Amino acid sequence: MRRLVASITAALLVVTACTATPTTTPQTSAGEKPVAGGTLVRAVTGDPKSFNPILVTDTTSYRYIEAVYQDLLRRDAKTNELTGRLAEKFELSKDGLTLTYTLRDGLKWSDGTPFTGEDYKYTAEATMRSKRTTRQNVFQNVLGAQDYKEGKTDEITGIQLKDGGKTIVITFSKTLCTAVEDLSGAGAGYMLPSKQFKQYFDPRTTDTSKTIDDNPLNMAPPASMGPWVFKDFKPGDRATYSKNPNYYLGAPLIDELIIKVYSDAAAIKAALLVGEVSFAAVEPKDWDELAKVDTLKGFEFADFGWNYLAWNADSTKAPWLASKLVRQALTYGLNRQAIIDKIVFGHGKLVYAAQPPANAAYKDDDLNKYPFDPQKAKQLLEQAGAKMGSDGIYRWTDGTPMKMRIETNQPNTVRETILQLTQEQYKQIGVSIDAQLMSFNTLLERIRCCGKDFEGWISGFTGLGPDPDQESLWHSRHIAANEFNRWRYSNPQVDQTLDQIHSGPDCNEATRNKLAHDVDKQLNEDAPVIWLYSGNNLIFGQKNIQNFAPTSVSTIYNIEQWWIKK
Amino acid sequence: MGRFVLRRLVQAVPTLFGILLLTFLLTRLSPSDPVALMFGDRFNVTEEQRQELRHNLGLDEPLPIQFITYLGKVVVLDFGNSFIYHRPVMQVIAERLPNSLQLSIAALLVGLAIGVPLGILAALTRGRLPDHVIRLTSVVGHAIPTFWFGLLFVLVLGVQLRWFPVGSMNAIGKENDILDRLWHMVGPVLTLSLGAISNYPRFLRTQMLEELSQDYVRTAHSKGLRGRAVVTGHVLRNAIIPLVTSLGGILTLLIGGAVITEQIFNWPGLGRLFFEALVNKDFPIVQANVVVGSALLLLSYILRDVVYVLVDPRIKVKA
Repeated sequence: MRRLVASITAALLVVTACTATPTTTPQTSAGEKPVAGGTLVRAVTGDPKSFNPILVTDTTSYRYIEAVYQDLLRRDAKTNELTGRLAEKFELSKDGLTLTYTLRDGLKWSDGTPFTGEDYKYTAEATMRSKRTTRQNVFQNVLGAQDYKEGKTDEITGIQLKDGGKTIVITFSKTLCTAVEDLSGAGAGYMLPSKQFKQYFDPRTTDTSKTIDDNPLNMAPPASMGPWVFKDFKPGDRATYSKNPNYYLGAPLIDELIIKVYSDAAAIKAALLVGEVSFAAVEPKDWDELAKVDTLKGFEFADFGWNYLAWNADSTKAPWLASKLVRQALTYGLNRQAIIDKIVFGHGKLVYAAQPPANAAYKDDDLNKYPFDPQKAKQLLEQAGAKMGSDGIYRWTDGTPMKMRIETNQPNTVRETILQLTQEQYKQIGVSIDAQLMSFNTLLERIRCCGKDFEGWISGFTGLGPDPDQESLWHSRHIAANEFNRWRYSNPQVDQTLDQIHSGPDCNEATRNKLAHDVDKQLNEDAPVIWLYSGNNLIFGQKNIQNFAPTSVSTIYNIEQWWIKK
Repeated sequence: MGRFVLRRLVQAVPTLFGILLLTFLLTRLSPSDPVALMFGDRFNVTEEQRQELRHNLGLDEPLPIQFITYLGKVVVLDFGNSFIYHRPVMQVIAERLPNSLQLSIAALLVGLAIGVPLGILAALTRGRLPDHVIRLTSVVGHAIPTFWFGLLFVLVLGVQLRWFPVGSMNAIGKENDILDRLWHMVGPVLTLSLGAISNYPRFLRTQMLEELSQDYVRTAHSKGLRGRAVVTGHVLRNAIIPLVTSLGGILTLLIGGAVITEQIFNWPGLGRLFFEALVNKDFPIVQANVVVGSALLLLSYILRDVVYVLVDPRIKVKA
């Protein structure tokens, strides 16, 4: 039961977005002719919270939504480059204040209605007026968005349509490089069919009490731009879709998609083994067992997140954390490879700085790898001024024993184990750890603001995304309660570089990736946190599914080409 | 009788109010914030946005105001919208209820259908082979943890031997096939009724033996009643009363679902819904669960008292 609680909690708490670098290439079915027909079953661990993307942010809901709705741009599954999906072209003006999306020709919803910029603008406006969304921050620099939200206007003036809705022009008050990608889903992540939704929410009003939040279409998408058309949904059990003949990349070869709910990873594993499920994400501990089954094929790729051990700069009891040498020593003193082997059974990558390994900006050849070296750790501690005490624990320059309280949340087997390993390993280098477990919420509250009575905590980030912008994690302006520079990292040089990545003037991706690596180099040296590892994504599929080739970016990017070999 | 039931119902009102107050306070005072959970560990979120969402969910009002609003709605069975599912709580519960009911009613019936005859048989064959076998299996069945039995069922009969499905309510494409549904019910129903199958015989056997040694049994025999008539007509009616007591909370079980069994057999019932709601701090669903569950418990106690009167001639209602 405890493990079950842990796995469910993990699944629910993690807010994941998807992901980057492909490590596999699609299997080419040499000379074989694809056979149409059949049913695909995708396993997930929960219901969609809603089929309306405005209202959700969790990975599970996206699994249901990405089958029917689309956005304007997407990351190329193999190169990780931002490319057109429903938009054929996109352009950010030289001054970074005007963004233009040009739609492809002949786009049609599954019911035959043309897809236009109207659908885009509708979704954006519905997002701004929603009272239950958590997604409005995407529009922070879009002109007129705030006025529309407050009911001062009856449209977002900063979003204009041209050429009969084929061109979408968005104007900003300030450049934001990430806007190009973030706004490609009209803030919601995916566009809604305005024709049908309008009967429940008409955006041309100044009455802010009207919202899209409660209407039956939120649980039953009425039209589809994606590869699948929604058929029905049985809560707790499954959602059924049929293929979309109007899908812009061509109708899928497979007739039907079922997204089926399983209670946990164990249930999914059993269903994969008996062939009930076509493809599903699995847990590292199950990899070896599933890999032995000859009807199944496994895929492993890097993730857009990492787990970390952060140092609490607010702590009053550990003055030594201000010393770079000490932080470096603590990094050398932790055997992170052992953690990977123990926790994800080797299915993870060491990370040395802030960019996650799936990201195009990730580069580690010129970073200090901090190989596990207890001798070097001790040497650095002594160099920083610490002296070994008679009890085997170092004393800091002021004579206090180097004792630290590190916290993490429970139930979370992964983090509990990391904490336990950390405690054991730091004992070897003369640093004593007081390990404390608490609920996720308590931990969040403590790190969100001002806790002075603990020295470090273990947590993780998922869904850092394919964009290199991490301004909110490392810029000194985000050192405040409730902000995300929780480690209070401050470096003027880094601040400047982060600003360039965040708001240009050059929003070119290659330039930004290069700058992001400069930041990485400094972070790697300053060691404000210990990057523990990035767990790989593991997906298993039945071998008879052809062209199934998931990558970090997407599992279903080419789903219309899949077919089932008899 | 009518007045008795009415009086009991009126007495239940303050109890229910207490339960409402308690669940409300316990969920609100728990050191966790649904808004924080809804935003998760996402960055790029400002404090204003948090406050706004808190306001939209009605979580920024003073507690007494929140409680009064809540009370007013509960009276008309409106438990509000789920924080997570963005739909009315009663709708979310109604979607799952039938799934849980078919499992728990089947488990109840199977438990009684197997447990009661076994108990009678054990009592009547006291000290002989059938009695020994039934007593032994009862003890073994009682000692097996439900979750272990369920997991073993899935692993051995499902994954290894493939005699039974590994879970779910039906096979893909067989949503309306009754036989397929029954096939999928075998595992969860057996798991759920395991307790009843092993406990009822022990219960009933002890009671039956006690009753069989009573004077009225000898009297019945001596006035020439056939053995079967004595057992079913007289002994069983008296012996079954403790069983009725143990069935008192049955309505709660019926609606509460069975978290572990549903989890293991991937059954989309209420148990799983409530469990997830608890993890997600989805207060409206948690409250509805506790309140409806408690109301049903109260109701089933009243029902139980009525059943006492019906099965036991010695018990009479004083109006």
